[in-house]
Amino acid sequence: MSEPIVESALDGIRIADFGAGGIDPIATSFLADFGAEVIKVESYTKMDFIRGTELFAGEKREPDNNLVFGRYNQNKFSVLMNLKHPKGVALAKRLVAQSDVVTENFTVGVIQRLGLGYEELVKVKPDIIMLSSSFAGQDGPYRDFRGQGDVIAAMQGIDDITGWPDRGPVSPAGAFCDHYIPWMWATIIIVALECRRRTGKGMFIDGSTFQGCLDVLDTAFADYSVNGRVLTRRGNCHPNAAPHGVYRCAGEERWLAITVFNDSEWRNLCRLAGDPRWTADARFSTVTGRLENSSELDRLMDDWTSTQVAEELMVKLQEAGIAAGVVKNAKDVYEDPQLAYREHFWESAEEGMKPITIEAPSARLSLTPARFRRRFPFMGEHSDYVYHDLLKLSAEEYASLVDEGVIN
Amino acid sequence: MEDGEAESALGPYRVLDMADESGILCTKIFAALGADVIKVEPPGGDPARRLGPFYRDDANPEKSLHWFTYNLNKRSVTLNIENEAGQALFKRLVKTADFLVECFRPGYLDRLGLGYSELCKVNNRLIHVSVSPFGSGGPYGKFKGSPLVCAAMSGHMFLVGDPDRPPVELATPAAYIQNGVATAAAAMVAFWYRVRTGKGQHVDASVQESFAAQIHPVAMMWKCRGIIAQRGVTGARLAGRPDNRGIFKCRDGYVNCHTTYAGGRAALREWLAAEGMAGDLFNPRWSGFFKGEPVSEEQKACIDALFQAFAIDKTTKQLMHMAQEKGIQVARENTVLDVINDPQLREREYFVRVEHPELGDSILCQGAPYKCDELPWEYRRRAPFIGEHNKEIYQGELGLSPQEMAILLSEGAI
Repeated sequence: MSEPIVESALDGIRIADFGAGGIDPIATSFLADFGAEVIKVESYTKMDFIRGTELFAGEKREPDNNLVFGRYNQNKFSVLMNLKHPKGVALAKRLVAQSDVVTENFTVGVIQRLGLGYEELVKVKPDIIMLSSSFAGQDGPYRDFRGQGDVIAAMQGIDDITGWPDRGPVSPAGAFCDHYIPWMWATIIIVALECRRRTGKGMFIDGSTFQGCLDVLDTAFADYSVNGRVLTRRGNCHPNAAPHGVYRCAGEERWLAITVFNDSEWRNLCRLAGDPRWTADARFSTVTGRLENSSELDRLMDDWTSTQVAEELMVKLQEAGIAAGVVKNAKDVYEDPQLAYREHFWESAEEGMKPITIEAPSARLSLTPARFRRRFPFMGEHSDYVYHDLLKLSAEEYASLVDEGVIN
Repeated sequence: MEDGEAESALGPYRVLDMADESGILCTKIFAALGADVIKVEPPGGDPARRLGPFYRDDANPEKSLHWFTYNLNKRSVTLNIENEAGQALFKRLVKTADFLVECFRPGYLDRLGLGYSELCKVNNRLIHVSVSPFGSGGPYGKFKGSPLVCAAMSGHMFLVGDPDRPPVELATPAAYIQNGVATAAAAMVAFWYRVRTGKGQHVDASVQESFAAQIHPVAMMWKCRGIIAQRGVTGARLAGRPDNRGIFKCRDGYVNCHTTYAGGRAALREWLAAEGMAGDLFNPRWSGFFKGEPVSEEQKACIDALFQAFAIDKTTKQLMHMAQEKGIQVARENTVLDVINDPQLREREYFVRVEHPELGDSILCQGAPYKCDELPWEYRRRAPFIGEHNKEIYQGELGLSPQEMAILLSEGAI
């Protein structure tokens, strides 16, 4: 449907990626989707732990067969490099010397102990941009804390603002920041590249995932500072809109989210419902009245929706100018017609391999769209490219480094 | 640049900001990084000025805390793009801009003759970012959105909440906020292409699609395994595969603890046993579990009950610090106030108080996600009043005469 693509937006940017897990790899996979050459530095002594997590394509539980790894590392290259060996560190520096950006998310202090801290890397590449992403930053009382995404969400107050007022906090879906921060880091990396382009200087960026996700708290900090209010969980209530929530529909676990922001939308909803007696209740005629009586309103709404098919009611409400959306489960999302229209899900197709599902970046760029050029790399699949084409090692050197356990 | 002061990263670039809540974080990030962001408001003010909460609960369009939080550093002009004179002026602004970020309903700008196909003729270097609930075009392209509706349609909401209650969402417009950061990343990709080639382009962002990133790998699990994940207190729940963690009530709040994480099981048992609260965990029937076998629903319930009894009379701080020493993952379920007072964020000087001279007060704002002297993330100025920079921008920068300004005003263009 568009002209043939000749180039990608980030062609010519090389990223040496020492990261593992979710945050760092997702950030670099986004950049790889738009053409950056991301080289994942791995070894059998220090494998990205995601390669061993539970979801595998097919029956074989092997590092080269992992679905989640597949999603976090599409379009990347993989090189085997044992960083615990001094010669591995030397090779890493040679790779960095030919890169624009280095990313890593080891526990704080580890990259320095390996001899690959920023102070070392600037010696081989003076204008290198290095982004270290850690739990809470490179300094401060929590610098040694270990934390997966869910721990961070708890500490960020995200859980506390999720759930019902009469129950405990709820962790939303999973590790919230794992699937939020990557786009912050991707933004910052390109901004840093622009800065370097103008000044000629590289930089070290001390990224904190704890800090990086606090925008999700919206106006909570401002509100506390001038009004003394502490935002906490409140179900699906909205301070200025009612009805505002999810309503039960026909079938098991079928729900429809409906949000009514003003009286004209409310009147449209009443008309759509066929103006039954409950909608004429004077208490519901204004936003203030609906907010004051929202639990009764929600109950009546539930009675109205519970016999209807969620998808059908959504379309009717939308046609009446009311924001409504089915609470989609995994299957619904996978089969969602809008996401299909936007080609959100990509499938790898390779002989002898089960397909891997990839999720495309959420924005469509008219000239340089994201492209799925290759599936995730097998362990060391591109060692040859890196050692031969980039680092110009001879076949003998390569063979002896393999023997010494440097390339493993 | 002098005295070691770094130049702001996006200082040379201008952003026309017509974003609503669904894209506003994108332009907030650009403004923090130094871009010249100009809010283009309809006469009378941007609808976002009516969004609460308000400064001292005074519902005045110049006192919206939403406005204060998201429009730091920005300037404001008023402009009626539905009026011919206003459209001509808009094109003059577009000529000077590097980015346009807008959240109009798909098709609206095209009908005004201000869609990307027209604007690129005015300025072919322009990066035109369009944000909409479901993206432009497609079966839901015309649908109305709200944070809750987009969260529902992204698949996120289905996975959130107590299993015995309806699905629930964050108390903040999380789907919109996530879309803001995802859109910033996409806009920067387009920007880099322009740096290399001089060519602008159109960026079409979808809130639904941005927030769908939160559900990974749930859609994939359906595709590859036929499993539909359900909601649970600790996140997406898979039948027969209990999560390693739980949320536990303590004396002064809640903690999140990885009670059955394979690497921490023995340490947790020792911790409980030190206070005689390990139940029968030393019984041989648990030996497989402590060797690292997958945990069953029944075992999980048993361990969680032991840990709940252990936690109930301790404070969150006590538990967190004890656990960290033992290498067990425990985190306090912080409230917003706990976050404001967090020692780590204090040490790293995360929060920023931005002065609002006219109110004689200051407002607490989120700071930078990172530390980096060469990449300043700064707030220099409170959010603008309605049309505060009309004269500065229209007369001072576009070179309009006072007479032209008067005509535009009388025509209702500004």
